[in-house]
Amino acid sequence: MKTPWTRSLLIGLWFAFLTLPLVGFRTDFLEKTLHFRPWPLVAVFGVTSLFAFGWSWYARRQPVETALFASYGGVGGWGQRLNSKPVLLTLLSLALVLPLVTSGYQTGILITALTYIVLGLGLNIVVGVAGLLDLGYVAFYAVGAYAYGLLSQQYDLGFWVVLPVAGVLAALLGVLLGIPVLRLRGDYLAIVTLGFGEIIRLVLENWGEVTGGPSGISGIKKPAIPGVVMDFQQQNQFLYYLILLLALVAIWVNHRLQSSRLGRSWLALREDEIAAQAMGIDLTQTKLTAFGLGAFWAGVVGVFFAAKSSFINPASFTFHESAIILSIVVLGGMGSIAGVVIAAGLLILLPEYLRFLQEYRMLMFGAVMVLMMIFRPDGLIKNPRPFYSRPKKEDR
Amino acid sequence: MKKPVLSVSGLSKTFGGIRALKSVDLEIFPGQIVGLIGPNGAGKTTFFNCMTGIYRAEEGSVRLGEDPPQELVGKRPDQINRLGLARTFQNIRLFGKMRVIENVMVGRHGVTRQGLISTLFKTKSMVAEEKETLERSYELLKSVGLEGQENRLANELAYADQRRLEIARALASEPKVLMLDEPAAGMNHTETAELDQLILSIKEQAKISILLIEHDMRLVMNLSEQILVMDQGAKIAFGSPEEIQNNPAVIGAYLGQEV
Repeated sequence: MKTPWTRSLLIGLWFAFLTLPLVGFRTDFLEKTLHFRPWPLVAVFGVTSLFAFGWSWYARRQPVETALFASYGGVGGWGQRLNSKPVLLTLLSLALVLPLVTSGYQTGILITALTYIVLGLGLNIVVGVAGLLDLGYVAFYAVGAYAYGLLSQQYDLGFWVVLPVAGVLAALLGVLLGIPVLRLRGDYLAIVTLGFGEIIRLVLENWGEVTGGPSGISGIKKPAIPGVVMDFQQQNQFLYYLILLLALVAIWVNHRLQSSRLGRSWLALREDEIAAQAMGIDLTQTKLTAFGLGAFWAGVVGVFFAAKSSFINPASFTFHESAIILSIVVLGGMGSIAGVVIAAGLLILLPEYLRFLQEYRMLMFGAVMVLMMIFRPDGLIKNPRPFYSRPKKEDR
Repeated sequence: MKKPVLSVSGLSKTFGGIRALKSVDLEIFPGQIVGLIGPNGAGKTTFFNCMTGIYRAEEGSVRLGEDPPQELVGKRPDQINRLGLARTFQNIRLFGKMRVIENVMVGRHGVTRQGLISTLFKTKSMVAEEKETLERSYELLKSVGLEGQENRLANELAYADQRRLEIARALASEPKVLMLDEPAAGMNHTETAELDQLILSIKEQAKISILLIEHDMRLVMNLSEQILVMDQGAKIAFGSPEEIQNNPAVIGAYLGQEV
């Protein structure tokens, strides 16, 4: 067994070796020779060893997992404090006031963040709760967006009509995709859904007569309240409140389902399919509800997206989008509503507000992600299950 | 003459060229505890899996209930559970990241009804059903001795407690027949003795029949009214504990036959 000290020294040696070509040599362009520089290497070795030892000492002193925050499950943990009524009301009123006091640019960013919150909550049902790794989620988003784009241009249907219609359409597609992949799990399911997402995108790109091909659909009508004329800023604020409402409804739905018979059966499927079936859970029905409900939200948000940007093309629905939404779910902690909200905020707002760092922006973003994986490998909120207490005698 | 609550006849299953089950018969009467023993690889767990629909038996039938008996072969595991056959697993299969109480609540899935719409609108029947589910789950956890552990995660429980939780979860589906697959595996003497009491009290309180796979002979001989002995996929003996202990075929299967 290695002692912490030998381990740390080995780590230092490894780093010195890795940085050898960068630090260990200096080129002299005038004489065209290479000079060996031992001292910087020694410095790298020393600093890394010390750092590694300090790190291991810190890790031994307190378990890494509980080092930063108490878990949601712990009494008085930060997640619970976050769940209290005054905090939620403050957050809600803040969300209501923000677009009135900030610039249109800020409102725009917030709209994007809220969009991803709803998408994250939808995918959370499929991946986080039911444990079905879906890498083609963006397909349902695209279906919603194109449904509004096409229906509003070809049949002159309004935003409010298409919103539920597109949601249901996406849900049906979700169920249709669900049927052939019922038996698949994990990696295999991921591959099939990934393929499905690409199929939808390629169809949109190549079926020019209907979808407009790569140039997409432009001039899509923005949502409006009949009889009300809005200027640009009011339009922006209206969009904000609209997506805020959608997000609140999505949170409410997820919350209701979380501790219900259906929600528990999704979780049971995620934890152990065979045991779940042996406990009377119908695999087909339960999985298809998860796929359908998850896709529903993507469809609804797709309509919103098309209406907001008034222009859509297949480039908006690449695998990259699916990956971001999936990151939100994983980063937030599988199955946690508050986790999705916080993670969507982080993943969308952080790159925006790190713009002052210019070319180091994505580097910082990556560093934050790596730190996350080290300190909270189970996501921001680790155990999102609610507490139970026995019903009181008089209610029985 | 009483009718059996569960009757298995001619149940067979092959894996490739291996005949894992060779036409096994069994009858369990209401309120009976039947033990199922046999050397490792005798096909005991395969027998369980064929009855609960995890494997599909190629021949034979499994009938559950009295009037009229329902055929189980060819049905899905969840349908079989709803008809009244619940089981535990040899290698514990709990829902690890769910709370202890939630594991039991999932067990009541088959005897509850509420779906998406009633949940979203929080209908009266849904609230009432949830309350009943919660109440019954608390009672079940108390009856298996897990009171006070309701809000822990299932995978945080001690090994013996996980086995107990599996029993509570299976009981939550209100089965006619409870099938326990090596419930005492990995338990020490005290825990096994407690399990003995637990199984007896389940039989008395819930008025159900129990089919028990177990290697702990003292437990099996203590509890079982009838014992089925299997070896190499076939039934080699069936009878009371005394008969089984003196049966030459059983002794041969366990200790090897004299040549």
